[in-house]
Amino acid sequence: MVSELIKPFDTRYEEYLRDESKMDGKASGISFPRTKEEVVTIVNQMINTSTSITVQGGKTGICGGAVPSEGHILNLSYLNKVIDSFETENGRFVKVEAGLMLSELHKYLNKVDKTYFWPPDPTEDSATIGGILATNAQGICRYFYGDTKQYVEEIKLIDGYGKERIIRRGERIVNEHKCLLESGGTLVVDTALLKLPQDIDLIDIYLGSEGMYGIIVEATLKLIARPKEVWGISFFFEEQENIFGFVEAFMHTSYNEDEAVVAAVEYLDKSTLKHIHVLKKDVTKLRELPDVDEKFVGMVYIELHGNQEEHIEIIAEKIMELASHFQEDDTSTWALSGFEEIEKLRAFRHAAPESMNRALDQVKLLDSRIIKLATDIAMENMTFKELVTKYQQTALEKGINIAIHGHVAGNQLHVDLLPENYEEYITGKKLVKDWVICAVKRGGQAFSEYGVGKIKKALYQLSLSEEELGNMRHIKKVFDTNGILNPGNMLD
Amino acid sequence: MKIAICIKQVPGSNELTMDQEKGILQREDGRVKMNPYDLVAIETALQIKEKYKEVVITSFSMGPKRAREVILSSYAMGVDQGVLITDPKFIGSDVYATALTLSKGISLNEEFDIVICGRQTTDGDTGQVGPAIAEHLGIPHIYGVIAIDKIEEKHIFLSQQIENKKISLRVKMPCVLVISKEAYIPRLPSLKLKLEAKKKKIKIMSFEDLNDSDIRKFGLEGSPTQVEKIYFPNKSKKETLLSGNANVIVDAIIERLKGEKLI
Ligand SMILES: Cc1cc2nc3c(=O)[nH]c(=O)nc-3n(C[C@H](O)[C@H](O)[C@H](O)COP(=O)(O)OP(=O)(O)OC[C@H]3O[C@@H](n4cnc5c(N)ncnc54)[C@H](O)[C@@H]3O)c2cc1C
Repeated sequence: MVSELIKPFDTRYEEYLRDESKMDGKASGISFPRTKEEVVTIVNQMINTSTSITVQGGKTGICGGAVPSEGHILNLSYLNKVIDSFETENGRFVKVEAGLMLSELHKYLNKVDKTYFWPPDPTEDSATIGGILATNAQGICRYFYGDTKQYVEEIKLIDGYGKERIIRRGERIVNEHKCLLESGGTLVVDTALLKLPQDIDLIDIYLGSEGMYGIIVEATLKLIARPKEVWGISFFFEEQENIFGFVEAFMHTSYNEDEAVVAAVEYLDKSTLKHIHVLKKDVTKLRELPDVDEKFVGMVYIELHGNQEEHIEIIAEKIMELASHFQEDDTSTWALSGFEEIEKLRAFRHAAPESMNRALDQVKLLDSRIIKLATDIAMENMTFKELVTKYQQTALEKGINIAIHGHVAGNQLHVDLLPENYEEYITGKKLVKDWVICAVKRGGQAFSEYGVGKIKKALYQLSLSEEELGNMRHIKKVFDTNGILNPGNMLD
Repeated sequence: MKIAICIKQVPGSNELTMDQEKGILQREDGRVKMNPYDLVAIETALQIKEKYKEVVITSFSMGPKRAREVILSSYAMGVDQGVLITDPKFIGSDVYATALTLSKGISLNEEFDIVICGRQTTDGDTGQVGPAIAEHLGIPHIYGVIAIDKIEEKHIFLSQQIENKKISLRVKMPCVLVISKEAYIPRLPSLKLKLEAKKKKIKIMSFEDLNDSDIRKFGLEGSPTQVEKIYFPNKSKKETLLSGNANVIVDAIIERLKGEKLI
């Protein structure tokens, strides 16, 4: 039975040594469990043979978290069923297995529960629910709907002892730095040191821990009523100063109208638009969109959600009026409404990270040592203009091409560095380090969305004090004494 | 110059599920959208308008009241005016009755120089509405139009693609053009026009307005054909295994491609 589940690693499984970070790993075995009982069997076997485990979902992570550095690959893509959807006095929920892809969850909800949706929507829909929860991935609508964690009610996981644990929201709360576990043990969490809420829920410590504290096998996700109307609007600008002006004015105005709200505000710079144009040739969904005129130096994508179109129109009208002060050509703005139609604009937005990964594939052909070089720093205490200009200037000084896209709210911008050779890659790495150090000094959040994994581990550790790292190691030890889960992620 | 375009509202979801027992495709999702092929028809008309003076574009749609949404969408792309031909009496129309109803609506409005249709719809898939409108109107139609090259006083010059042949044509107007999906990439609606669209009027025509009291020509009764079943065609996969050394295989591939007239 065990031997059937666990396969020795051979060349057939080569693709499982990589994720979207383009980092290469090593492994001695691989398994594709179809039930949580099979996961328990495999984990126990690994404990018995002191073999480390790297957990994989959809392998869409861009920090190498799912890339094995040794040992066994536990790929959860076949643990992919929707278990149930139900209603309680606390609302509507869907219970799923961890390997379910986000696209499949969307399909299921469209079919069974059309009036509800799960707001976290990281743009890559081949990501799995387990992967999303493990990295606490966020979508473009976080601006309005809030953190992914809010939409997770319960997780079932297998810990480093091969034991199944159920963590339900509200059941175990940290009190004065301590949390009693159902096993009777105590978890010490120095919330002040780790900059966490004083009364953090245990489930929120698990979520975003990149599989270090346990393997998520099931999750109960909280759904909310789907807005009846959605609009997507893409504003294009010919001058960078005008983008800055528009964003600044936009973020200082409240646009809510009755139940209608601004749900997402996203920025794509000129370099990103150019890369999307290149990607267009190969992606059917993008080919259906008109070309963006080369005169444009950037785009701001805004999504409006509401229950009545009239309310959305009032907001759209106000934003159009604002944009008219900054746009040379006000007929260039794309506007679509309805879930079906705005998929076109979302596909365009999604093409931003996708086109970056495509560009990386090309450079990697020239030099295989080059891997993903990108940041996801959130810098709330700088203006949007200051931040974008700082990235552009410093990259220019070092002679590195960059592309910027991301969330305008909270200045949570993704900067992709696009080295053309290994020397530039090394220079780029130093540049990222400078940015991270600068962000930490200025009170920014150095790793705000994509996780840490293996690629950003050194920088992550650099951003933390020895005490902070010590506390994290303690938490890791409580859940995984032997350190067999996801070694090499976040901590050493 | 006056251009009419025919547009249709179709089910929004591309996700089709199969009723295994009945072998019928189902679209249970209530969302709707503009037939994507018609977006190309609109784009063609708009490109003509951008190039030539005094062009007025009118969109026509036959469908339920809700189909006014596609007329509004056409306004948001830049269409000047729209006509919705709607009446419960038209329910159940097949290709023939749809084309008749549209042609009546078109001819009763203006004398159009060009009528533009999309190649097919995503829900009906017959691809015959355009040619049938031309028949009802008694004017020529050109199928597979991939470009409008030039327009002179009485003639339109266009490129047509049939199989792998490209043909240049000079056609006397009025005529019906059936546009290929590959002809143009449709623009997206602009915010400004989209917001203005709601304020624009849509002309509504019902059975009474069609100047034809013979109800037997319209709707289900006027439809000589009926869709009994829509199903996925059986996929027949023919595989040929080429063997031999690299040179032999390369020669065989080249022969094949030549045989298929691909090179
Ligand atoms: C084109 C593109 C766009 C993207 N857009 C976004 C975006 O908008 N927002 C965003 O946040 N991210 C985005 N990402 C990154 C990525 O999609 C997310 O990090 C996603 O959550 C990873 O899910 P996955 O299933 O692919 O996980 P994987 O890549 O397989 O794994 C990621 C990490 O989670 C761990 N893990 C996976 N499953 C489990 C489990 N069941 N239990 C415990 N640990 C587990 C892995 O060990 C690894 O450390 C994007 C990536 C791409 C390629």
